[in-house]
Amino acid sequence: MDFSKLYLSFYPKLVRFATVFVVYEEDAENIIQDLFLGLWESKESLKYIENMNAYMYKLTKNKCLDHLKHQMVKDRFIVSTQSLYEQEISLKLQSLDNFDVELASEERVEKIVTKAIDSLPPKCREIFLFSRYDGLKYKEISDKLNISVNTVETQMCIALKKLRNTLSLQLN
Amino acid sequence: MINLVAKYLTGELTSEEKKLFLLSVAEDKTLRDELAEFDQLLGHLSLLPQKDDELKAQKSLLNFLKDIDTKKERE
Repeated sequence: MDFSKLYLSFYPKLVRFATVFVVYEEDAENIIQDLFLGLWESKESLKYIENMNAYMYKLTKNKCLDHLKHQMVKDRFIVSTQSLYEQEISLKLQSLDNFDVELASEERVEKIVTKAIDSLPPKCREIFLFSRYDGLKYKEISDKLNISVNTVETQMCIALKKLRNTLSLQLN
Repeated sequence: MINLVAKYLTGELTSEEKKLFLLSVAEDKTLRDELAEFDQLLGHLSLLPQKDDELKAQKSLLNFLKDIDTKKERE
């Protein structure tokens, strides 16, 4: 695959994936830029990769794990007691370590996730999409839909629970 | 507790609430496992393409190639 095509098709989703696990979007962007820099330097060997999707997610996972481990060491060095950030990255490290990138890179997973979101009740889905993909805060969603913040909160809980249950049934 | 988990995942907790939440997570294995399950969910949700992906990627690629050129010139 041509390098530019590879960049265009993977950059946004890899940043999104990395952001889930490294806490800050800026860190995620740097990690993925660094990943592409490595690929650029060895771009001649890209043609030998059979499953590009699995390869890219595996690289991203490893880069994020390295970043989290490095942050933990750095944080311990700076603050002697366990900080809030260290607790958070320790949780993320555990979650990412358990994340099956081979499974996630299968084409069927995207369809299963889409179907799971589509199966949410309409209002619940709308609220979930505003929050997850448009990055709106609960207050902004409540203003937009003219509903209370409590309703947004309740619907988000319903959405997350339903999606977790559906996906864990279908993916495990 | 699901309310707090949802608010944590969506960045709705204040820093004080987040501190208390993470303290309870550290002390409660069930909650830790639950949070890990939600992280798996978010990981899967991140796979879906979004409407501004193309634009973001094009912008980022331009900057990336510009940085490579600058680096080459310096060398």
